[in-house]
Amino acid sequence: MLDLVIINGQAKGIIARNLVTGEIERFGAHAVVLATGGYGNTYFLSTNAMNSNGSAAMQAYRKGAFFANPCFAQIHPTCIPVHGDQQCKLTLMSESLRNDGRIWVPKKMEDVMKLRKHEIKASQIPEEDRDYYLERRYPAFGNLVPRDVASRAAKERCDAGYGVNETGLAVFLDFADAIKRLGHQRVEERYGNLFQMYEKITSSSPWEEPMMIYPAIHYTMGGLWVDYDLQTTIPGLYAIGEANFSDHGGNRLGASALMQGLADGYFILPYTIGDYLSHKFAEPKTDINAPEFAEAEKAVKERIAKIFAVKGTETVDSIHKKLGHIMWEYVGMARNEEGLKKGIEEIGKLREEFWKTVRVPGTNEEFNQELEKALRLVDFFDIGELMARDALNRKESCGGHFREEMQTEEGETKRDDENFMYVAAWEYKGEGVAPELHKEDLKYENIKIATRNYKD
Amino acid sequence: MSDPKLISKIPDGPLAEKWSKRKAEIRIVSPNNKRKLEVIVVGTGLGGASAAASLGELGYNVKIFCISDSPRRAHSIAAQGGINAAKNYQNDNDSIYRLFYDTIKGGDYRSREANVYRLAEVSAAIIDQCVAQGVPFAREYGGYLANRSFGGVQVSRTFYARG
Ligand SMILES: Cc1cc2nc3c(=O)[nH]c(=O)nc-3n(C[C@H](O)[C@H](O)[C@H](O)COP(=O)(O)OP(=O)(O)OC[C@H]3O[C@@H](n4cnc5c(N)ncnc54)[C@H](O)[C@@H]3O)c2cc1C
Repeated sequence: MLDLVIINGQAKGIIARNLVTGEIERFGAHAVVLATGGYGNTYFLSTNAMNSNGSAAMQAYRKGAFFANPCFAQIHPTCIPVHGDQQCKLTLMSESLRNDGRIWVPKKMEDVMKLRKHEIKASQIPEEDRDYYLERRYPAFGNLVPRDVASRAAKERCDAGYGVNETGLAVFLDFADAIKRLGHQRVEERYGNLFQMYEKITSSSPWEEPMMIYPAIHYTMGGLWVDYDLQTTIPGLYAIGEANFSDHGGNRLGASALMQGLADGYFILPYTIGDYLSHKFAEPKTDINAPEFAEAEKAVKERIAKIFAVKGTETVDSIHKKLGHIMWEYVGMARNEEGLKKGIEEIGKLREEFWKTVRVPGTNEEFNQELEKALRLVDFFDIGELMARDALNRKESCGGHFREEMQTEEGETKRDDENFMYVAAWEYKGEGVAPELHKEDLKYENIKIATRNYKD
Repeated sequence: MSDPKLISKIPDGPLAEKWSKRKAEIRIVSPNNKRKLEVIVVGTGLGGASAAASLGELGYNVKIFCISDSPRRAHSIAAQGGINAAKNYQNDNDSIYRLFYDTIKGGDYRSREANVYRLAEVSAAIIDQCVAQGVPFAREYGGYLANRSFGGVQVSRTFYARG
């Protein structure tokens, strides 16, 4: 899907590119449902599938659907660390490993140095010289604190210099105790596949030495704003699954994305969409020869032609990688006002660079993945910028969104409920124009609002 | 006051009754009229696939789109950990309320109460639906569905497939 078609203010169809032949096609309907996933790949490196993207949501946004809480992105604490510049993807090690795995770094700097020089192995460091920092800081939840908390704690230790690999950006996830307690067979039953995956990628066996892990972008809580019926601000356009913003606030709990996607798809949307469609059955089928379809198709074709016309020297990935660096640096795990402003500026510059230097080989009329990627990158620039804007606006720390200016003495997130207990929904106002912020107040009538506490 | 452009349509009444209330109000389309209606679903992950299948079963004409060589290869297949549901199979005092509470708290008090409560409410049915479709969830020796824990909770409510 490359564009959404709106007739009389209602979603009536899409323009899609046939990936095999390149043909630009029109499809009409009485309603459109977007289930197009999250935008974590804005960061280039993430645990998402290579073709995960935010383009469909961005097309809807440009056509009038509000985009909610874009700055809420989840950084997963247990991923295999980055190992070089040539990497295009990061691998997740499931959170389930934290049921039995214990996370630690050495207490002594000399052990850290020896580890980095490969003079000792983790297993040789005695128990009393290990800092099980999650168990130390959060005794009640221990290794099973939520993801944002675990990620920040890993960053804190690594920033303090205790990272255990050459790059200084890794901590241990250790199964020695679990193997002792449960035996090889039980551990194998629970995590055998993950151990195997880890060993294949790193050539180190978690049976002998602890895994090395580091946080990475994993999921996006923000997405298209939807009402209780999962309808966006465009009548007839629905958004479900990771593509909407609905249920996870500032941070999603593990194993709740599939729950939400299936709840939306099986049990909520099929009912709520009926309310809208009950007014529509008397209407004739959508006419794909309507001028609105022709216009949208023309715009898509022009966008594609514009990309081919650049004829520069850079690959799409090389520019996307730069966007990833900007995002991770300025809109990553810790954000501040100055950095976010810088980030917005840098994204703007990179966008210009793209339109001057990108090279997409081949033609539209064939299977052309470089073209697909280029079209997505154009949208990632806009998402990245929107994330930074939202992060700049939200002057509080909350869930996965950590503003350095807003933290407690212990380095925990500090919310500002008085000023920010709202959903930030952004309305597109045109290219190069700042989007408009709309606020949906959040009311808590059944739950006592408190500072999150995973200590006791 | 919320922005007038953002009408959340959250039903009033007690939290636990909101979804039932909304369902009772929602107009439905009779089977012979569903046949006249077309819905486009973009995406074939668990969200899009479950929606398209449900809408198709209901009798709507559904067109579904994806950008991978096979619809099955949506990002959703990468999931490793499992899926939550307030079944309380472990008898560890889990409940709809507890799942609701954990999710709001985990989200650092920035999600809608009504949506999250509904999510917790329908969670149990998802597992039944999946089991009926033959999802090979991990089971205990005795045949019961197995569970494990994920971050931010103190119960064991995650259903998973053994690797
Ligand atoms: C490694 C990993 C492990 C995970 N493990 C778990 C877990 O154990 N439990 C859990 O609850 N969650 C997990 N998650 C999160 C969860 O997998 C995702 O949030 C969820 O699968 C999203 O489902 P979805 O249906 O919304 O979208 P997706 O599965 O991302 O599907 C998107 C669909 O949209 C299509 N699409 C996208 N753009 C377009 C376009 N422009 N035109 C046409 N089609 C388009 C794609 O082809 C695809 O079919 C994990 C995530 C990762 C990265």
